[in-house]
Amino acid sequence: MMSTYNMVKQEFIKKWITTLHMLDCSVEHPLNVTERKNAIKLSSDIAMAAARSGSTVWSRALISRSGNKTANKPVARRILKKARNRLKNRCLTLRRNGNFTAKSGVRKRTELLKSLVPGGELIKNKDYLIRETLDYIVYLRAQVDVMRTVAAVDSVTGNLTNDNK
Amino acid sequence: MNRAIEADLLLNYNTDMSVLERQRAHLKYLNPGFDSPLAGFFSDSSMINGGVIDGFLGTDGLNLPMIYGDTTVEGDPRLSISPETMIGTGNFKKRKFDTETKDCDGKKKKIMMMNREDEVEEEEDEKSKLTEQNNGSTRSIKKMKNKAKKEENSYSSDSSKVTIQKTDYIHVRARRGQATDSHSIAERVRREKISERMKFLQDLVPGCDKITGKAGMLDEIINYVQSLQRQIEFLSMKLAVVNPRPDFDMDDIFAKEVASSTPMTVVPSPEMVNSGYSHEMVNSGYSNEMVSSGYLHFNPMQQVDTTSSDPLSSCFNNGQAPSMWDSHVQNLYGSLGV
Repeated sequence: MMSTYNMVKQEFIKKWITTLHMLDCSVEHPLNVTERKNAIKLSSDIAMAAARSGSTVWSRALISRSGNKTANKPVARRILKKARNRLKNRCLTLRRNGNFTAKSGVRKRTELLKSLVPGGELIKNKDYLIRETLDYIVYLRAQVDVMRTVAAVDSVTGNLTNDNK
Repeated sequence: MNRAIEADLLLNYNTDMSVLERQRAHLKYLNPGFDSPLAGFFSDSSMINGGVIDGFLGTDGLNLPMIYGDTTVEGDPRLSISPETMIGTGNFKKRKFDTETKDCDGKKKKIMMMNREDEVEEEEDEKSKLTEQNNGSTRSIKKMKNKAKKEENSYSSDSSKVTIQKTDYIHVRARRGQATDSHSIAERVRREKISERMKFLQDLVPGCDKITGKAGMLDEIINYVQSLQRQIEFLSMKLAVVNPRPDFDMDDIFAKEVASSTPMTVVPSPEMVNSGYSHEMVNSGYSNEMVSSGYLHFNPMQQVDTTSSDPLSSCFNNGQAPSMWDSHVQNLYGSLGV
């Protein structure tokens, strides 16, 4: 269902533009490349999670995780105020479980998947984990598609202005 | 045919009705006289299974159920059908319960298990052509396939009499050669659910057709998620390099647009071709607007035609101001109906 996927992308773009704006207003320029990259990634992650904004574990965990990263704290908090209110303050804080090594193949991979998906460690049921992963993959793919398109446009426009000079 | 109608119902009502209402609608559709005897079942079963599905329906942001990629609309109704709605459908009509079959301990889960078997059977029949060779699930699925074929033949001629159990649990017929312990039945249902999800994942994650077994599937999923995350890192770095400020989407692009307006119409199209949106761009008949706002061509552009041209062109003429852009964005998305 491409139409659903398109909706996902549209929602993501809307949120991303908003978060980028907020980010831009709240940070002092100039930023170096790394800071810019982090800002872009942060805003797009928050936008992705806010676009989902349902009761999925990964979206809430992603928002709460973005809010707690110390480097981004003041900026993220400001952006997250909006998103947090929408999620009715049900952000999850990730509890770091003690490390336990999984011996068998499936179990080990499940642990690895849990570490990849935001909020995965909190999901006990393997069934729900896979559901969350499915949802997360769709939104990740939307994010990648959008960023790739914008990057393509940007690179082209960048080349053109360079040529004009 | 019955199933197609159900799927239709669900497709139409998916976002409006909760799972419980859908079940009731189903029952009313199928059995006009039927109302409340099993209503208690549904509310309980929906708490067990459908409550989760309800919980995952978005309340803010996107009101989409859990998405399973390109199989969203087909996938979800099935999943939401499976535990609850099949209760009132032909499965009751089709199943005949012997007294000597397994007597569960009164858990309502048994209904769902039984119905899930039916549901998965039908799905198996549908999908078996596509995924037969990918059947990395346990032998229970194979048994279900065999059983489904037998049952299809034997039940097709049954009358549509609904047998509603007076007791509050349903006898489950254990399958041939399978353990009849209640725990193992529950375990089997759980495993089947997981394998069903794995199938959706197969559709979603590219290149998963040849993989069988949970470990391999999980490997592929992990690789895919990791690669997507890495792509995001890379793309955000690329965007950071190209743009002097984080707020790049509109202002920067538009500035460059205005600076070099005419070549933009021609040159970016190869780029857009590469990113695979070319057909939509061509159809839209736009030049600058399409190029500058890459997100626009995610949608068929016909409806954007009249409403968006004015704000965007005025944006071009006046230069850029973020506030103006915001209003344009609002207009744009209002016109898109989003």
